[in-house]
Formats: sequence, structure tokens, C-alpha cells
Amino acid sequence: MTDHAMFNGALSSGDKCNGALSPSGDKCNGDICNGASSVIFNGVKSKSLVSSIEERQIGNVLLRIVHHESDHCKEFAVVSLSFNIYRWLTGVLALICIGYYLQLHLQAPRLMFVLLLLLITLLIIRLNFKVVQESLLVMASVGIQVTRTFALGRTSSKFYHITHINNVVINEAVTMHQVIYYLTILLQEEKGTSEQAKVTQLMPLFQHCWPSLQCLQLVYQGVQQVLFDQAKKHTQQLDWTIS
Amino acid sequence: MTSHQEMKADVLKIFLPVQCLHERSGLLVGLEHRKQTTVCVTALVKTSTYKDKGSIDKWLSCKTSAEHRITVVGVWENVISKQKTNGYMLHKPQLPLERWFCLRKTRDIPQCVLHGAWPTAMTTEDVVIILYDARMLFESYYLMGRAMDVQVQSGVAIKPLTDITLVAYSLLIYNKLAKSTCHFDIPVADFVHKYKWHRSRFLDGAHSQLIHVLLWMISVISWVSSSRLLQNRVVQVLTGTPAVTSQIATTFTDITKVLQSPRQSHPIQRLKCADVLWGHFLDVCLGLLLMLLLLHGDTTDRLSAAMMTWADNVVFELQRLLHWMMGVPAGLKLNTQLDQFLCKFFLYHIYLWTGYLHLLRPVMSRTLWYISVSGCLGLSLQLCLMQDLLSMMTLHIYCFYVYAARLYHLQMLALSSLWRLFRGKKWNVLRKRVDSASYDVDQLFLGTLLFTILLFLLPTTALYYAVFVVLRLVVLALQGTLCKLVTVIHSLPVYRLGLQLLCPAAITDTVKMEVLRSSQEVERGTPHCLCISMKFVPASLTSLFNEKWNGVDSAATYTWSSFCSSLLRGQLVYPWIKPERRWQTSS
Repeated sequence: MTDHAMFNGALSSGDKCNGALSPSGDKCNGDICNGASSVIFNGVKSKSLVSSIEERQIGNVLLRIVHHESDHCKEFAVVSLSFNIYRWLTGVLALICIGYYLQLHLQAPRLMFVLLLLLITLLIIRLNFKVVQESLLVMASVGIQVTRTFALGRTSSKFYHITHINNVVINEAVTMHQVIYYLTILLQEEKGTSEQAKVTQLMPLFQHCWPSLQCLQLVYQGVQQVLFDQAKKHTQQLDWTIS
Repeated sequence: MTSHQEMKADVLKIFLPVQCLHERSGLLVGLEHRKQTTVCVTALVKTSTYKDKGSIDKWLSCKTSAEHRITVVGVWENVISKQKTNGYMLHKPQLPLERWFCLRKTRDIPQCVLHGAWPTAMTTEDVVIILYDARMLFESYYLMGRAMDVQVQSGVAIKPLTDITLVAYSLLIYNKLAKSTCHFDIPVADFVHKYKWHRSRFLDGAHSQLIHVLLWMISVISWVSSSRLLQNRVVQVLTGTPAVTSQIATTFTDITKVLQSPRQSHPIQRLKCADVLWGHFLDVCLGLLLMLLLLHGDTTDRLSAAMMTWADNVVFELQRLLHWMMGVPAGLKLNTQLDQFLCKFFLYHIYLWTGYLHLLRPVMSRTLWYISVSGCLGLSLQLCLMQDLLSMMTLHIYCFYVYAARLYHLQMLALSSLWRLFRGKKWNVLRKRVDSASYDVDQLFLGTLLFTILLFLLPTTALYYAVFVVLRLVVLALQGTLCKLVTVIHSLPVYRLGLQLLCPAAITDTVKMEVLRSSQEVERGTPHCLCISMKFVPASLTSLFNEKWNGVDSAATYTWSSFCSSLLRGQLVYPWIKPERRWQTSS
């Protein structure tokens, strides 16, 4: 049940979570997440009641949705959990112990020192480019901002204005032995007064964390709800039963 | 593809400068863009009551042009700072406007209340307040440049604008309209310092005399150079070949372009002009530095002695190489007579060359001294002079290459033609294709004989050609690096790099949005609006280097495949040298 929990799509414009939360942080009383028993609303902080955060683990990524107390703004963050610092630390300690046992540190100290420095530099460089979290901030009528957070705390972001955005869709890439799903923003040129804008570019999202299709569906629904008029959107049953 | 849905359009966006948050209560004045449901607040009228309605209206009517109108868009309330409210309508707003809003300052983020005839579906929750720093926006060249590019038709922009362009445009319009002289006794807080970015940073009035003199000199020089005497083809070829003169010509055109461009032009143009001027200035500084280095002590003498020794070494090595080829080079058996003939020919040439070097020996030191002194005119000039000096010193290698290439090319041409005869075909010059032809027996006999002779002489010629091609490519590689250095110095955007380090606010390109959350408890059920802070982010270095100013295409004139095929066919190659400097098309 936990893996197949999905939103059943019957959203209407009046559904929000802010009025219906209980202070103890229990699950919502069924407005949005029918049957999704694994969803936890734990954003009810004692000081700030302005936004509610929803966290969910799907596969090897953690999806965090921040509802900014408004229909017009949502933030989706995908955190990749595959890097486990404790495992790495134990591995390094084990290697150090082996090195000590074999008396490697007495062989050629200067060489060891240089090698160590080199490895530490390489590690720092590698960590500088390792993406830990990718987030998507969607603001209706303003635009979409895509942010990447690296392991050392640095962030880099890119902003797409609403006039450049045609749509946000889930696209498929078919290779020899698998189908890869990815969420992408369709970019368009600014249209003139009367002509229809053409899609000129695709901007794929979440290229480092590669969340699964289920995760992408959640993000997609949220984005569509924020950007477009939601009354027409979610009337049909969304029937994705892909494992 | 599903039909395209319309995006949400019933969201009101209010762009509020951060400077407003510290101001006292007053009336907010700005531009409203109905089509994009955006309001850009540009100034705050610090009036205590609306009793001065008449004067405010007169002040606003000054700020009207055919296409834009600055209107009162709302009310700003700042009740946190302790001051007398003086009968100000806190809870009974009664502005005689069709629709307006009231922004109230809370501890951290402002709250908004809509009044008047807004579209019915719009509530307070549909309002988005975007805070930004107006001063930083005004300082940015790129963003204000984009605002200047906006084309407007009867008050409405032709293309839908991005928000940042819209805000910049509103500030621009407000500034333009604010210039109009109407003095009324109204305390207004403009969020940007007036006319700040119109003040030139590098071409001030104090330098205008110098610029007049320079422009006069430039006009004289261009008049002279466009006279009929100098438009001759011969003169053009003579001046085009050495690197120095073309370098001078390029510098000249650059500076002319910069000085003749109008002062109050587009900010991006001015940025690029500043790049060019600062680039030349840096050039001159580096040249002076190199000059000081070379003139210190007797470096030029030692350098010239080293260069002569190197030239002598090269001559000696070449002679050794030719003697080696006369024997059995690398195990290849060459045709003895041809081999000896070519070798003697080249050796005689080298003998002539040593004579030339003897002539050059006393002059070398002086030449180097003059080159270093020319650093006053820039490092690129010095590098060009060095490039020319290198070409002069390796003239014999160039001559060898040309001889060997011509010989090889001739042989290849003859071979291909005779090969076609061997197969019974002919090259049709008119139709530019290979046609079949019938030959007489004696033609065939003679042709086959010649073909065989030429084919067996080919390895010798090919070997000589290969050796000299390699030498020539080495020299060309050196020249190419110098040429590339010169190009890099020219196209480096110095001013923009400096701005990135020292004043990043000036070259901000994009924005970064962040949702502001109130830290205080908000009662559940009270509607509140979304508040976003917009920060300006400088352009990245890679985008800086990708822009080209002169339209100089640094695309290679040769691709690898065309280069290799020219080499194989024996055609003369001139890589890394601009096409206009080649005074002879490759045959």
C-alpha cells in the first residue's frame, strides 16, 4: 500500500490543508490524500504556521513538498539519499587501520603526505560538484525556479519566467532496455500579439537525482495545480498503476 | 498534443522596492500594467493627508506622456515607527480611485488589502508581493539595456515582457517623466537616485577636449588612407602581409568605432565600448611592462646573441638533414640522381641563407631594442612584431616548403592526369567531371611510360615534401600561438571582468526568487498574501566569454579534413592566418 499510494485526483479548488491540520501533526483528515497512509504532515512548527511541509520517501529519494500557504506557490525538493556518510567513514577508518597494520606510513612519508593531499583535494573537488538536492519553486504567474544544492552547501539556481514557459510535462526517453521518465519544462519564445507560441526548447529537471515515475507524478500534479486553472484539470481519474 | 491551456492570470503582482519598507506612511505611485496584472511601484509620496489632492493631481499630470501614465496605485502604511498619524486614514481609506490596495507593514513582511473594483475572483490571497532592491536594478547595465529595447505601441508592449524587464521599464519611464520640470511642494521619496546611470563613468565632460583632438586626428588619417594613392592593390598587399600593419589597422578601426559612437547610447553598447578602451589600456600597460623587462640591463643583446646562435644551429641541422636524405634515410631507397639533384639545390639555398644571416647579425640587437620600445603602443604590437621577426628568420624554411610543395603538387597533377589516361578517361574542364575518351596507341604508350617514371620518382619528392612540411608546420605553430595570444588580448572583456570582481551589481543578468515566510504567528483563517524576495544574480563568466563584440569570427578557416587533403595534394596551406592576409589564393 505504501508504494502504490497515490492521489486519487479528485481535487477541487477549495481544498487546502491549512485549515484542517491538527496541531499534533497527524495526518490530514482526508481532503487531499485519500488512502495515502504513509504521508505525514509534519510541518506544523510551533512558531510558523505559514507553510506546511510534506515529506515522503520514494525509492532512494526523499520528496519534500512545501505548501506556502497559498494556491499560487509550491516548492518541490528532491533529496538524493544514496550518499551515506557513515558507510564512507567506516570504510575510510577500515582502510586507515589496514594501512597502519601494514606499516605503510613508514614506507615513504613524503610520498604518503603528497598522496594524501592530492586525495583530499580530489575529494573536495568531487564534493563541490555533487548534487545533494534539487528543488523546483513554482509560482503562479511569476515563473519557475530550479535550484541545485551541492554537498558543500553551494547553490546554483535558474529562473524561467512565465512568458517563456509553455507547459510542464513528463517525458519518456526510450533506450534499448528501459524507459526513463523525466519531468521537463517546455520553453517557448515570447509570442507576439496574435500568433501562437511555439515550443523551442526542452529543459529537463531533476537530472541528478532521477526520481521515479511515482515521485514525478506527484510533482507534476502539484505543478499543474499551481500554474493552470485547476478546475478543468483533475476531473479524470489518474490511473497510473506502474510499479 | 493536448490543446494549450491558459495559465492562471488572476494573480495580482505588486513589485515593491525594498527601500519602501523603511519609509513613513504615504501614497504609493507607480505604473499599472493591466494586461499582465502587474503593478510596479516607483515612488512614494510622503503626504500626511489626501487633502493636498489638488497638488498631487497636478504633480501626477506632469508625469504623463502619450503612452504612459503614472498614477496613484495604493497606500503604504507604516504604523510601527512611532510618528503622529495626523489624521491619516488608517481604517477608513477613501481614495477616489477606481481600484487600489493598501500595504501594511508588519514586523517582517508587508500585508495587503485590496479595495475598489478589482475583478471579483481576486481576493487578498491572490496577491503576490515581490520585493526587490530598486537601486541594484538601476545599476545593472544588462537589465536596463533590455528595458530600453522594449517597443511599445499605444501604451501596451508588443511582446509580453518578463517581469524584470517590466519593472526596469517602469523605473525607466518614471525617471524619464520625472525629469520634466514641475516643482511642487510635495515630499516624494524616489527609490532610485535620479539620473544616476546616465552619468558616464569613463567618458566624462573633462575628457571631451581630448576626445575632440583624437577625433580630428582620426578623421585626418582616414582621409589619407582612403585617398586613391593608397587604395592600390599593390599597396594593400604590401601592407596586408606583415602582421604589424594589420594589427595597427584593427586597433585603429576599434578606437574609431568607440569614439564615434554616441555617448548617451544603449547601456550594453557603452559597456562594450568600455571593454574596448580598457582592453587597449591594459594592452599598453602590459607592453610597457615587457619593455621595462627587456630594457633592464642588456637583455636585448643577450637575446639577440641567443637568437643568432639558434639560427646558426637550425642551419647546421638542416644541412645535416639534407646529407642524411642523400644517403638511405630511414631505410628508404630513393632515386639517386633526383635525390642528389634536389639535395644540391637545397644546399645551395642554405649557403645563400647563411650569407643573409651574416648581414642580419649586427642589426639584430637594435631590432630587438626597437621592438621592446614599441611596447608603448601595446603588447599586441610587440607580439605582432615578434611574429614578423619570426617569419623573417624562418624565411628559408618557407622557401624550401614552397619549392618542395610546388614540385610535389606538379607531380601529383601529372600523375592524376596520366592515371586517368591509363584508365581511358579524361577530365572535362567545361563540365568539371571525368569523361571517357579514346586515345591513340602512341598516346597511350607515351602516357603509360611517363606515368611509370613519375610514379617511381614520387617517393623521393614525397619525402622531401614531407620533411619540409613538418618544419613549416612547426614554424606555423609558433606563429599561430602568437597570433592567438594577440586575438585573446583583443577580445578579452576587461571592463566586464573588472565589474564582476569589484561591482557585481552592475552586470546582473538574472534573478533568484525566494519565498519569504513570516516568523510570527498568523491566525488561522486570516487571508494573507504571498511575499517573494527577488535578488539579482550576476552573469556567469562563461556567458561573458561567449559574447563577441566585433563580429570577428574566430572560426577556423580550415577544418581538419580540408587541411589534411590540402597537404596531401601539395597545395600551399596558411592556417591561423586570416584570409585577407593571404596574398595568393591556394592553387
